[in-house]
Amino acid sequence: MRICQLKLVRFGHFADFTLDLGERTKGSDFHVVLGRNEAGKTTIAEAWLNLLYGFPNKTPYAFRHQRASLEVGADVQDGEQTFSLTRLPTKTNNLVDQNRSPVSAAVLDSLLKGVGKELYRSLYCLDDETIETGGEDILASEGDLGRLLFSAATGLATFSKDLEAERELDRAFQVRGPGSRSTVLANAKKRLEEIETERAGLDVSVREYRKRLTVVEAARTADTDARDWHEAVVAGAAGLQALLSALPLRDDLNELRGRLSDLGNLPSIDPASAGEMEDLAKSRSVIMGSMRSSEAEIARRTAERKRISVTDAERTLTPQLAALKSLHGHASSGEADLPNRREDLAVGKRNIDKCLRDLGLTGPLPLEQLTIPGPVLNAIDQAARRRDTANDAVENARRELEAAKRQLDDALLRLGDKSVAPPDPTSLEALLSNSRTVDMANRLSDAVRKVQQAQETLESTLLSLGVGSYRFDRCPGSSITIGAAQALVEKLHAIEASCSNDQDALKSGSAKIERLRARLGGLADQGIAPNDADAATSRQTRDDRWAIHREALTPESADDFAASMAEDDQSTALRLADANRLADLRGTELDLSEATVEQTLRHSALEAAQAELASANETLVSHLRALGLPEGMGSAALVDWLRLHEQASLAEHRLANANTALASAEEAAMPLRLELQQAVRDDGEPDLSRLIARAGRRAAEQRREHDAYNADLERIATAQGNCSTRDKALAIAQPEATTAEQALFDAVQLLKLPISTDLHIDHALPVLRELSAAASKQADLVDRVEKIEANIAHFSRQIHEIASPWPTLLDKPPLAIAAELAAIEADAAKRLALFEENERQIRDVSSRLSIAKDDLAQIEERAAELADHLPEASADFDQISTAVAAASEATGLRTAIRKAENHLASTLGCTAEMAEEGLKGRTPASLQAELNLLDPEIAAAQSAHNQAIGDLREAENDLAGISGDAEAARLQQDRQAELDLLAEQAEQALIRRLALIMSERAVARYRDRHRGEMMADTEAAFAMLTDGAYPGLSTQPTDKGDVLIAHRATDGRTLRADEASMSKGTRFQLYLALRLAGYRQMAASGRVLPFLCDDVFETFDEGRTAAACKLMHEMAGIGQAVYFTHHAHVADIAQKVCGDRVQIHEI
Amino acid sequence: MVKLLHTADLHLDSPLRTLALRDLGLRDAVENATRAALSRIVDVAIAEEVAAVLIAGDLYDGNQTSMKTAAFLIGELQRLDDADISVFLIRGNHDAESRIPAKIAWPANVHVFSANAKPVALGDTGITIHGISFSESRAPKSLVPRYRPVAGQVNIALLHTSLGGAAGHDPYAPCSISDLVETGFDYWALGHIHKRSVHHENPFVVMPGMPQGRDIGEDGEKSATLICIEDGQIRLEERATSALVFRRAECDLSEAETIADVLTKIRQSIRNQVGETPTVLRLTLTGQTPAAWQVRRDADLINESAQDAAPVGRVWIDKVVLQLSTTGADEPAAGAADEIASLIHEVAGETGFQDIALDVIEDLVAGLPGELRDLFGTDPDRRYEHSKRLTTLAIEHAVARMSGASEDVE
Repeated sequence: MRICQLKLVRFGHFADFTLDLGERTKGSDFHVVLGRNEAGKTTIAEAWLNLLYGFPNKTPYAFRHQRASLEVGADVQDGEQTFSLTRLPTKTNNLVDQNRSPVSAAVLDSLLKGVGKELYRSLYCLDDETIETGGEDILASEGDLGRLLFSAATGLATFSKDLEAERELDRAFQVRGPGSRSTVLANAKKRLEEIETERAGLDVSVREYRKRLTVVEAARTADTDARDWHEAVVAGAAGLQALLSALPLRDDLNELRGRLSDLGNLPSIDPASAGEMEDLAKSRSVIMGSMRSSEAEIARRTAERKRISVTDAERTLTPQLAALKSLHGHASSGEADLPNRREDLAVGKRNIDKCLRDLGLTGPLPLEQLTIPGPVLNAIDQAARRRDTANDAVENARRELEAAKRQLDDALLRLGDKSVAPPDPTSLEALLSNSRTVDMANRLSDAVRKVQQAQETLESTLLSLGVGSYRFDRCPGSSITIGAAQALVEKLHAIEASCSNDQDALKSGSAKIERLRARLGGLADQGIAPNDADAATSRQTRDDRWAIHREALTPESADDFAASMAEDDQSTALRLADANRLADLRGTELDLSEATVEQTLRHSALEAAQAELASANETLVSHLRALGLPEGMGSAALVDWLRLHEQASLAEHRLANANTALASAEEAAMPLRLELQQAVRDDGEPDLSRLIARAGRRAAEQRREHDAYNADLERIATAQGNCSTRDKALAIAQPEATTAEQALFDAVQLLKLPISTDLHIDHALPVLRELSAAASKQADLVDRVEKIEANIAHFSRQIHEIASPWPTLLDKPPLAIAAELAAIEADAAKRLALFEENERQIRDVSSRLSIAKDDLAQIEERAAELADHLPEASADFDQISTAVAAASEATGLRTAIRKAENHLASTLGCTAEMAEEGLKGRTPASLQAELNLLDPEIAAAQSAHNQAIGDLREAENDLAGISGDAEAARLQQDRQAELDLLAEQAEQALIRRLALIMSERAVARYRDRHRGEMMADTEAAFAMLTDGAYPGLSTQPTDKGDVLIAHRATDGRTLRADEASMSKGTRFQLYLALRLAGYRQMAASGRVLPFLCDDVFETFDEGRTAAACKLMHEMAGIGQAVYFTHHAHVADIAQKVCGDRVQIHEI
Repeated sequence: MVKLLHTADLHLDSPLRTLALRDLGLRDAVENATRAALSRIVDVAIAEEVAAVLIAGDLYDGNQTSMKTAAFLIGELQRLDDADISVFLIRGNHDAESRIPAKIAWPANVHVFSANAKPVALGDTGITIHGISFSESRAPKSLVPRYRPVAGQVNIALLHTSLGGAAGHDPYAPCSISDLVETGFDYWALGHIHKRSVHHENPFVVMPGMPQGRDIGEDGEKSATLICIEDGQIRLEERATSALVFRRAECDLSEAETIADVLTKIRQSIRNQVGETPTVLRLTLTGQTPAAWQVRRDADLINESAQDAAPVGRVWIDKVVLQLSTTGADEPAAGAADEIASLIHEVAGETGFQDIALDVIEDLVAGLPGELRDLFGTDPDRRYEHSKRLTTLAIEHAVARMSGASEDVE
């Protein structure tokens, strides 16, 4: 790739600046860009890099123009292709072409051949700084020649450093050897061990668990043994203690046995019998006490009964008063109610009297007569309502009849004197609504409208036919069709065009003939060569002289021949040289002849065309005349006029058609017209539509009159019908009214009251109802008062009869007597109750006494039975009782002895006999002594047992103390995390180690492959740069590797490049030589890119500068080299060295 | 309705395997994930008022020796006992491997099925639980023929089985789904395979999966299966149990042009993975990007950036794996660089290089702790496979390094 133009549109201080490097000239592409200091040489180089790789986010070149407006463009060439590229500061699509369309990144990639920005800087850009650093690199290479050459040739300046860093990392993971104790691996192992130790300390393993379990089981066995021993010793002591406590039991037993023997041989008695005997004694004692108190009670009650007295009259008083109780109640309440009832009677009488007065009746009448049965009143009510209904019906019938008669009169009046019915419109309506009529009217109206339209169209088309003062009132006949006129027009045009072409051809033909003639003249004038005849003469002369010379073979003949030979050669040469002109001359002559013939032909053609045109024009004029049109109208206008004529002719035809259609419609409508005219009695109306409209109005009018007449007739018929109906209704209603009146009269007769017939029954009926109710109520009251009075009298008689034993009472009113008697009765009842109570008690107690006596007898009989088998039996209850008690005691002693024996036996855990045997000879003192001897052993066993319990508890606690805390698990997790991390690190270490091995081997191979070429290129470049001062380079092995050796021409010394013995300037040159060699290497691999160099020769003397320029020029032979400088002398030197193969650009 | 909670493969106190644990924050956040999962199961059982918890084997993890693990287990099961919830468990192959004794002081509610266990009725629920524990770590034959349902009961069987076999799981009591379906049981409560799967419905054959994943191979949300039984009908629900979830995510770098774009994409991918449960994320970078060589060269930087981008306390990065497409177009062909790159391939491709690689591996492995000695395989074939794999990675590493030597990141 090379730069053709670099455009700094907006970059740094530049605006619309273009560095035009032009074309590659004379196999070289070397440019020196000369500019004063600060002119922007570095900026231009940076602009190039920014074009290739984009604007960095922070750029020092955005001081004049904002970063957002920066723009750099370039036209670049790659092989045969040229690209116009522009870099914009946008985030995306920032590389565009001349049309501002985005350029694919692939395009730039293919131009750059994959060289990135930094690689470009290090391989294709040189400035003071890089050359300084490069020189230092040589010093620092420390014998690593391979790296030196490698980095110069590849630009992979940091790769070696990276490899070293990788080695460092690798050492950090080494497994063995010095330093391995502090490696990642060793540290990780240490941490793992620490975690494991900590975990082991915190965790409880299964082994530990089992150990603790074993301890628990052992403790459990020890506990059982200790408990057994303790229990055995304690049991021994308990035995002695039992003997000790058994001694009193044995003594008690002996005492019981003694007491039993004192009682002799009394038989045992069933304890139940003994108990029964005791119960009998107790019962006997209770019964005897009870008998005594009963006898006392009977005596007391008998005495009290004697003191109470009640008369017979008093005894019978209670039932008598009870029998009178109901009557007493009636009399008592009647006495209180009687005044009110009498008052009610008076009020009732007044009511009855009022009603009678209202009815016009006088004098007292029996209540039975005044109490009118409900059915009678209802019958009167119904009869009255029937009469009223009948009377209403008669009245209504009468009213409606009158109304109907009025309606009839009205209707008749309305009809008046219309003796003749109005005409019937039906047939006219039918005619009008007939579709034929409508169609006929429409047809006629359409025909008229079409005639009018056709007339208007014809008039307007005739108007448009007019031309100038030429006017038409009808469509003229035509002698030519539109097609013929069109053909005529085209023919005229074609002939005119043909004439015009022929004229043009004639003109150009004349010009061509002129040109050919001029050319012919020119060619003829140029003639310098001999003509054909002269040439033939010259050839003949030569041939002749050759024949003479052949014969003579003399120097003269030879000279003659040579002269004629030379003359012929010259003639031939001249003719050869003039051959083209002659050929041209001939050709021109031929062209002229052809052109002249063509011109003649064109003349003839033009004349023929003009004749044809005149003929055609005549035809046109004849047609115009025939049509009555102006002659100068022109063919095209004629065509247009003919089109209008065609339309006018069509309009005329349509008008004729429309008129025909109208006439036909008129004829067809004639019968209808006559019919309608007759209907409306008007034969003067010519327009059918208007006739139809008028007939319509006529029909509507007739329809109205006809309908009104019919309505009147209908109304009269209805009114007549109504009169008849009402008349019949009245005839029915009137007899009913009479019958109803009679029925009412009959019903009133049922009252059996002398009511006046004048009395209005509607008014009398409520009074009758009230009278009947009052009379009924009064009768009830009279009956009630009579019953009360009868009750009081009956009660008085009865009470006097009861009170007859007490004469003092008889003068008192009956109710007072009753009250006195009630008091007497109450007092007597109390006394009688007391008497009867005493009697009942005496009966009861006597009965209980009798039972007690029987019980006593039974007890004594049972006691005798119980004592029956005792030796000292007797009839006396007390003796029997004593005997039974003694037998019972003996029985009790025997039982106690058995119990004592059992107690003794249970105390010592054996039979009584064995116990008594065991206790023989034992005393409390002897037993206590034995017990005292056992105490220490018991204490020892107890202590051992306590110890075993403690041990067991401790062991169990130990076992239970295994908690579920997660600390050990956490450490296990930590350990696993360490292992996982170590595994990952191990894998990374392996990858790194393998990568290192393969990288080192690959680099070594690369170096081996390229070292020779690099050395040769560098040596040549260095020799050139030092102007032969250092003609050779070689390598020398050292303990650190190969070093680069420069051979100095002046004294034959060798200088190590990595040592200070080589001057700084020389070292720079060596670096430059390395870089230039590297450029060659890159070029060899196809990566030819512009090389930019920024004033690096400024420390060089003139000679070296010239050498450097030569070297740049050499590079420019492969690719493109651009050298920026502010030293005019460098440009001069470059020009001196490279001549016109360097281009100087001043900015 | 009667509820039961089915789980298996607790692998208590089994350490998590992730490089994310380099972050002490993660270690603090997930104190002990497998224990936390058991605690969650117990919490769920109590909250749901289940009648019983079914544990289908592998309470422990291999040759564990810590009795603290057993003590923790007992403590949690005691909580269930306090809540009057029964526990039915069988032992799995890992329990058999474990040195923790089978007979420990279980709480009263725990029923451990032995090798010849009889079915147990669950109170008066009409449900009968069956189970067989195998005392060896290998069970080459099917145990299914030894299970017999009880007529008139809802029969639930606990079985530790590898079924027909599953990747990453040794065969154990193998059987087929159809074997199980034909037995007449209503619910097969399985264990052994760590990924949840409802293999069959009516009857149910359910592998509940482990309640807590331990490494990226056990990724995704983990759960216990809640069995709801009503009128003889069974319905399943899931209850999340993980204290920490392992997840994989891909980050496509196809549209990333610069290393800055790459980092942005990675941050986006990580943000997309933030969920309810703390997450350990393995991020795989895929696609084709011009920045691929930088990503390879600066893998450490990328890893650190990913760690930094992970929301604190929510996401931790296990590892950033590179699976970037290598078409060659993404490698800068920088002069000598591509020649050296091809030389690197040449060197690595030579037969002798594998011997060197094997020696290097051998040398390094010899220095590793015992647990890691089989990291790169023990038998020659496996060791050779690793050697090939590492060589490929080393080539990528070397080429990326070399690319970086000519092009520094801007």
